[in-house]
Amino acid sequence: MRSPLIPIISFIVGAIILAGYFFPGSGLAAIRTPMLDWAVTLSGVAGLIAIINLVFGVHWRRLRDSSKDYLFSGLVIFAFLATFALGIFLGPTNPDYQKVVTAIQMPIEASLMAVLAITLAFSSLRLLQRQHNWMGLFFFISVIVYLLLNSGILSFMANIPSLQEVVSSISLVPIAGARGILIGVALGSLLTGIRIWLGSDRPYNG
Amino acid sequence: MNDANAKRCWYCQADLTRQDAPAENDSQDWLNNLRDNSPAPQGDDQPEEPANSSESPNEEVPAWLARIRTREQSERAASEDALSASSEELSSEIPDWLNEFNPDQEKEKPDAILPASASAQPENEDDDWLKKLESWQSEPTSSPEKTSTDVTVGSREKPAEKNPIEDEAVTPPDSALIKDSAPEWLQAFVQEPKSTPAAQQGNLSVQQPSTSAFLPAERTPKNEEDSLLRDSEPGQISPTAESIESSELDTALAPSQPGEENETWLSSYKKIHPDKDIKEQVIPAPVDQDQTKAPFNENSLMDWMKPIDPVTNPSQKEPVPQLEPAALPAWLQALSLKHNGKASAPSHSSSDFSDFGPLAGIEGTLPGEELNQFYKRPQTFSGLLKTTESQQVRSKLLKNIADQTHWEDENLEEKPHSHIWIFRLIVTVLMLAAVFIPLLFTQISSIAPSLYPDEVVQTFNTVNALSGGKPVLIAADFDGSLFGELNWSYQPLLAHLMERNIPIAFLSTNSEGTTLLNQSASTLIKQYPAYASSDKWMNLGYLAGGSIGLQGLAQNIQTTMPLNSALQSAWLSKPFDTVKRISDFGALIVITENADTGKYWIEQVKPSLGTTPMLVVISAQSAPLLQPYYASGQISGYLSGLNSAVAYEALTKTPQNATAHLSSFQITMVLAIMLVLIGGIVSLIFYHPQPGKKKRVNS
Repeated sequence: MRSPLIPIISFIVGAIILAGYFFPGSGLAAIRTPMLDWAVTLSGVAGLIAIINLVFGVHWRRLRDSSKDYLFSGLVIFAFLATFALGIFLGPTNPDYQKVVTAIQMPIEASLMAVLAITLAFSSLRLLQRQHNWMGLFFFISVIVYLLLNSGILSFMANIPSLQEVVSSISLVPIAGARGILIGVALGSLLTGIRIWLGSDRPYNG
Repeated sequence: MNDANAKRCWYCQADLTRQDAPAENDSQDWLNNLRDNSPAPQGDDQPEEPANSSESPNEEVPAWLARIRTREQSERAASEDALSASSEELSSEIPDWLNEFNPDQEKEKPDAILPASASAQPENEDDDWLKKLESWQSEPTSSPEKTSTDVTVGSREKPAEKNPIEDEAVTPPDSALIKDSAPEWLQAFVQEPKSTPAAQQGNLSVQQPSTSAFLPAERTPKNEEDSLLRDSEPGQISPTAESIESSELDTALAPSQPGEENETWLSSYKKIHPDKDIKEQVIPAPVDQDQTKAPFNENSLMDWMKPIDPVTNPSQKEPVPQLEPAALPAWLQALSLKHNGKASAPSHSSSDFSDFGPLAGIEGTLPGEELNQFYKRPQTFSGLLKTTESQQVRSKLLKNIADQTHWEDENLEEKPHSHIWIFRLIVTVLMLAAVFIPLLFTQISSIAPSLYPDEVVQTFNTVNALSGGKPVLIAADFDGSLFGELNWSYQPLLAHLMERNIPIAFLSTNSEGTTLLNQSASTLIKQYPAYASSDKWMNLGYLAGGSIGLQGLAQNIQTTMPLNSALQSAWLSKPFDTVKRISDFGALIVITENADTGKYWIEQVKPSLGTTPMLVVISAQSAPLLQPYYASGQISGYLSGLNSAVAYEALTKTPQNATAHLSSFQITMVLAIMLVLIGGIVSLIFYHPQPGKKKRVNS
C-alpha cells in the first residue's frame, strides 16, 4: 500500500489553490502565491532534469555503446554543449546568440510545416479513395467549401445579399463545432483535476 | 466355561480343583462362546438371578453381556466356597502389623476376600463391565494350586483382577502341559516367560509377561478380534503395572512367613546405644544421592509405586531394584504407527527406548517418528500452462483485440508503384509554382477582401482607442513552425501600435517566442524612427510555469517578472513605471498559433484585466476554437491568418507583407482545392471495389 502522505499533501494544496480562485479577497493568497512560486521553480528544475536525461541518459549512452546512428547522438550532444556555452557567455539577449533560434531552429520548424502542406495536398488526391462512403463524400465537400471561404476568392460575392447570408451561415458552423470541442475539453479537464485532487489519479507518483 | 471333567483350565492352563477332570482340549476360543447365540450348554451356567443386583431391572443390557454376567455369577458361585475358605484362613494368619502396613489395604481387605460376586456392592457398581468380564476371566486364579503368596495377593486385590498369566509364570512346570493343550495363541504365551531373563530371577520381571505373546504371529480377522478384546481388558493391557504391584506385595508380605516375621522386619531397626553419639546412630550416613534417591516423593506416589524396602523383603538382599522402564498399554502401543497395529510388550531392546526428549529412557513410548517423512518437498508444477479449449479461444480473442491490425489492402499499397513518385513530383512542382510564381510576377493581381471581418474591425478599433501613455503587453507564445504565418498576421497590428507610439512590453511562455518577436519587431521598428529612438520597447523575457506562471502574472506582474532581458528592473523606468498590476496596461495582445495557449491566457489572465481589452493574433487553423471567446465577449478582437492581416492592413491603409503575399496565398489555395476536387472525382469514377479484399486481418 502506498503512503497516503503524498495524496494528502496534494489534496491540501489543491484545496488551497482552488479556494484562492473562489475567494480572492481571503488570506489564502498569502499561502497560494508562495506555492505557485515553488511550482514554477520546480517546473524549471524538472525541465533541467529532462534535458540532462536526454543528453546524458540517452544520447551519451548511444554514443558510448556505438549503437545505430550514434553519430547523430554525438551531434546532439555537441549542439547542446555549444548552445549552452554560448548562452552562458553571450547571454540570451545577444543578437548573435539569438541567431541560433532565428537562423537554425525557426527555418527547420518552418520547413517541416511546408513539408506537411505538400503532404496534405498530395493526400487530398486520395481522399475519397479511402473513405468511399457518405461520410467521406460529406467531408470531401466540406474541405472544398471551407478552402474556398478561407482563400478569400469569394469576396466578390459579398455584394450579393443572399449569398452573403449563406456564407455567413456557413462560417458559423465551425464555431458550433469549436464550442462543442471546448466544452468537451473543459469537462475533461475538470474531471481530471477533480480526480487528481481527490487522489484517484496520482501522476505525481511517477 | 471349562468342562466339568477338565483338569486344567483351558483359558489359563491352571489346574482345576478336580484333578481327575480331563482338561478340555477344545481349541475353540472362549470368546466364541460369548458370540454364540446358542443357549448355554450347561445348566449350571444358567443365571440364578436375573442380573447383577446393582443393576436396575429396567436397565437395557445386551444379550451377550447378560450371558457374560450370568456365566460370571455362576462360576464365582462355584468357586466361592473354596476361595473364601482359603482366603479367610490365610487372612487370619496375617499379623496385625501387616494390616497396619497399609491402611488402604486394610480397607480393601474385606472386598478382596469377598468373591467377585461382591461387586454387587455400591462401590463396585461403578466398575466397568469389562472389569467384570476380567474378573470372570481370572476365575482360575483361585485354584488350590496357588501358593500362599498368590492367595495373599489375591486377597488384597479382587480375585477377578488377578491375571492368570502371572500364575502361569509362577508355575513353570505346567507350561509343557499347557503348551500341549492350549490354543495356538496361548502357546506363544507359554514360551515367552521362559525366554525372559527376568523370569528366571524371580524378581518383578517374572510376573511381567510379554504382551507380544498374546498376539498371534499372523493376524487373522478372528485373532484380531480376540486381540482387540483382550487389549480392551484393563487387567491385561497393563500387565506390567499389575505384575509390579503383585511383586511388591509379595515382597512386603514375605515376612509374614512363620518364624521369620519378627527377625526380618525388625532387623532394619538398630539398637541405640546411649554411650554413643545419638546423631551418628540416628542420622544415616550420607550416601550417593544418585543411587538411592527415589525418582518421586513417596508421599505423593501410589502404594504400588513406592520403592520396595529391602529390609521388608528378606528374600532379596540386593539394593532396591530400579523400576522397570515404564511401558505404555498394549492398546496404546497398538495405535503406534511403529507397531503397525501390533501390540508389543515392552522389551529391553534399545530400539524401544527414546534416546532424547522428555521420554528418554522410558520403554515402550511412542516412537519418535522421523519428521522427515511428514515433510515432503513442495509440489512442483510443470512450467507448461494447461489451458482448456475455452480458455484458448478467449486468449485468441484477446490477442486479436490487442494485436495491431491493418487492412489487407495496405500491404498491397506498400508495394512500390512506379507512378506514385510521378504524382508526388507533379504535386510538389505545382505547389512550389503556385507559391513562387505570384512572387516573381507582381503583375498577377489578387482578389482583395471587400468585406472586413468583425473581429478584425474590433481589433482595429481597440488599438485606435488606446491612449498613448499606457503601455501594451504582448505575449509572444509561438514557435518557429508557424512563425511565417504569424509574422505576416501580427505585423500590421504591431505597426499600428508603433505608429501610435504606444509603449510595448513583450514576454513569452515559449523559449523562442520573444526572440522571434524581437527579430520581426527590430525589422519593423526601422520604419518608425521616432519609435526606435525611445525606450518604448521592452523585452521581459521568458515566463516559466505555463498556466501557473500566467496565474502569478495576473496576480502580481512586478513580482513575477521583476527584470527585463537585460537583467534590469523592468518597472522603474518610464514609461513602464506606471504599471503596478496587469490591469494597468492599455491592452493585452496574445500572439499564438495554439488555441490552448490562447485559452490559458483567457482563463488565467483575463479575469485580472478588468476593463483592459484583450486581443489575440492566432493562426488560421486555430481560429475556430477562439471564435467562441470572441462571441462571448471575453476577448475584444482577434486576427487569424493572412486574410485578417490583409484586412487589417486595408483598415490601416498601410499595405505590407500580407497584401504582398496575398496573391501567392490565393493561388496556392486554389491549387489545393483543385487537387482535392480532381482527386475526388477520379476516385468516384475509377473506384472499383473488390469484395472481400478490405477485411480486417491480424498482423
